[in-house]
Amino acid sequence: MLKTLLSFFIFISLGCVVIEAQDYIDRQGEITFFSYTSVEDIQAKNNQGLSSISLETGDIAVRILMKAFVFKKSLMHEHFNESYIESDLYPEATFLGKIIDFNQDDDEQIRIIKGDFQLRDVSKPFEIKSKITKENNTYSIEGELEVNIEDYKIKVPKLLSPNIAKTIKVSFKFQYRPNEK
Amino acid sequence: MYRHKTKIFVFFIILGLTVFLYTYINKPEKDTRDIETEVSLTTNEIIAYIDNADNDYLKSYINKAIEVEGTVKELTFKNNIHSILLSSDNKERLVLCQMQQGETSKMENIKEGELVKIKGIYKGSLLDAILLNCIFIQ
Repeated sequence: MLKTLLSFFIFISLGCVVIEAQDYIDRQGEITFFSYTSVEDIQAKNNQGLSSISLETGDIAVRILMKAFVFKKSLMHEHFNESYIESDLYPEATFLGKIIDFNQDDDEQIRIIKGDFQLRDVSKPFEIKSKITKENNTYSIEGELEVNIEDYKIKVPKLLSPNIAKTIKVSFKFQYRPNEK
Repeated sequence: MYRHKTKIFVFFIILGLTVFLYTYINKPEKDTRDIETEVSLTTNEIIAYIDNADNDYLKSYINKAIEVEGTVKELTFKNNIHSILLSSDNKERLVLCQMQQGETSKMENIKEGELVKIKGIYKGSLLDAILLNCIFIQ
């Protein structure tokens, strides 16, 4: 009898955890990168970034499809995918991390997100200062980071090196909703 | 007289090359209407290929124009961009169609639950299949 009662309570507790630990997701996050040089400014946007957060743990995961970046000029798009990122070989960039001291009840909070950003099979640790806002049942996270292209073994031909910044500014904005399952 | 003609000839050659290079470098992305459709699939077929790890078939269509038929789950307008999210039998996986500029007026007539046929450039898949520069076929 005691065993049955114990099993019942464990089942109820697990059920609560599953409901509370529901993930929030954004299938259409915005990621923009900027390369500023005296010769040329290059900007590209990806509006189909995938990200999820766990309200319980503050864990955050991001996946970005490199071919979904949109450029103003098709030649830039071609160079980016074929020469710099080699997106046939490395189709995705990912970020896995944790929001430090995340409080799911705060309407607005500035937090550090610690994690690893992986691009072209190279993973580097990052600490990103981010603004997190809560409105109704949605959460927004926005911030920016600077990526050193040498760290990710991105080779730029000498002829084009004045056109490409050595440090690329990447900004992101995700709007999370409960994941419908 | 001969030297003068040569100078004019060289000038036009340089001018022609400059115009060609400028046009080549600043060439915009192609309009999806001008790109030939490679394959026509339903949302369920696309998601089945992704789910069954038979992604190689779909990978052969990356950066190519494909037609997709499916039911509208949601219309979104984010960052000045209209998108249509098409549902499949697998509730967790969708087909995301980011619309091409100029399709905005047609979006007003589309409602959730409606069956639509869309042509777009297939870019690959994460959780969902992603198509950019989409236009309405029906």
